[in-house]
Amino acid sequence: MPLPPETSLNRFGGKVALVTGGASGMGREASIRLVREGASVVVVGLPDDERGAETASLAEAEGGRAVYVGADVTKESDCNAMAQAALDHFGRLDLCIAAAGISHAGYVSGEVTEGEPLLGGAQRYVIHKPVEYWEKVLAVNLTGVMLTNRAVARVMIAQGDGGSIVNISSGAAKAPIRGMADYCVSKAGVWMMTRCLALELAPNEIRVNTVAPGLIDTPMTLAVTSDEERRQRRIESIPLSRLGEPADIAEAALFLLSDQSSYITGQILHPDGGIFVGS
Amino acid sequence: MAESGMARLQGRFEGRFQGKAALVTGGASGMGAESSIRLANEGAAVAVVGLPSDQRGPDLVARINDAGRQAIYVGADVSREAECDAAAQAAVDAFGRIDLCIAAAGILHAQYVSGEVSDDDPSPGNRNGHIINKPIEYWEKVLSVNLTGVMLTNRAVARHMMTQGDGGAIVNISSGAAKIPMVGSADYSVSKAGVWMLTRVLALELAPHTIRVNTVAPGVIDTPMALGLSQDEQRRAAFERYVPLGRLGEAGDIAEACLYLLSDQAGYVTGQILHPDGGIFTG
Repeated sequence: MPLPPETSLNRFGGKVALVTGGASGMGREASIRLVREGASVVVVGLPDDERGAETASLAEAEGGRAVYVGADVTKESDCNAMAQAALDHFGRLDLCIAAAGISHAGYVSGEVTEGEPLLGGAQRYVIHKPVEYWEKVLAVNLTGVMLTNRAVARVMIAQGDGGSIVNISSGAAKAPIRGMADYCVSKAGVWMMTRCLALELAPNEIRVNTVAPGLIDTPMTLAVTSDEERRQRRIESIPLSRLGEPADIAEAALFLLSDQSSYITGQILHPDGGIFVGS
Repeated sequence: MAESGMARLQGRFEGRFQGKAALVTGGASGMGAESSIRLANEGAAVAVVGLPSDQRGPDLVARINDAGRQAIYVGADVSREAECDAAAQAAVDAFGRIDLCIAAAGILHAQYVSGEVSDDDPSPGNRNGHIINKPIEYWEKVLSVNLTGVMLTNRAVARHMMTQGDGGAIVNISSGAAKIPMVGSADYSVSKAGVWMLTRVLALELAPHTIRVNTVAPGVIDTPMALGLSQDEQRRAAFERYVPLGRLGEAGDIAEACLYLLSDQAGYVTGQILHPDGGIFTG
């Protein structure tokens, strides 16, 4: 099965990008590919996540510059500080991928957590779910994206020469999943916020778009993908007959960040293997 | 904004489509022509398909060939099955295979002639264009080119791709009108909505063959089809104020959306719609 090739394009020479959720998965892959195509990248991850620095060194191995900055995207001051870090290190900020997200309140990146939300346990239904869980998911997945977006947009507006933002949503933005109302609602919110921001920032030539992945082979889907039987069952439900790779998502995000999409704003792109085409 | 395709033809770079063969309908002008140039620039051999009488097609092919790239011109009326099949066969005869297809042939209304500002401009307020008045021949003409033509094109190329057995990618040009009804243009809007649904069904039917099928649905783009708007300075200015990104689209904007979806960079994208429209329908 063909995967996105190592591109020969060089779309981001002289640009500076900030990528949240950069410690692993699609955020890591996007960081590496951005540097490969000429960008300098601020890799953002949780302050105590050593994989963030790992991403930065993997990206620098591509021959460009990357720094790791620890931040909790639910905190406005952290978001503002990470945008400032881009200015401090690289002097400007042109591009942003907001990829930080959690699948459920108990999620810890890289672990198959006990709060595994896909088994349909009725305790995860809205009528039972503790409100703290709901608030936690919305804080990271929705408010975190909003805070990230406006922190970088303020820098872009001050620079005065445009910019491009990609927010990672999910097929769950449109397809409800039992037991995952918090996640689905947060991702639907990202999609609507993207459209509102696209209108608000268009006069500044800042484009804002969403990539809404299907089931991708990243730490967030370990609960499904590490169980061979469940993995196979899910693959059978995907028209293109494979899980997505982080590179599939990274290339969608890079297209939307690049001048190749300079007339695209407020849009949603689904690299999902066609999983929702029939629904 | 992306630099023009012809400018990029001069500076060669290793492209995304080396060794691939593409067929592009509506290739004589506008977004089809720009896509053909950019595909060739990135290494594809291109069968440019247009109406048999359209001299712009052979001229374009000559320019691509002069730049050292592979292309042929094939005259075909996409509303005829035999001509679609013959066009696909011509591509296979010339290049040995077909990997990629852009179905960009389309008309704005029944009287449309590419490159002319036609009298029957179906702008809102032209009540002759309303469904209750529109001659059925007009309706049938638009559906036969914009919808049946895309279906016939898609299956003609897909049969070759299935025989080859190593996948493929198809992009159909729809329109923002696929989702937004336009007064006086029911035939156009319905045909484009049909393209979007056809794309989804074909995406499911062809996925087992690793043939991806997607739609690009432009806003108002500065091509021959939009001449009625773009040549009227007052209408153009009024329209540009209405587009969030403040300009008409360029053919290159659409071509790059198509090339992304045709490339392996979009290897996990099928059955989707992408709107390079300057944000015009976001609100």
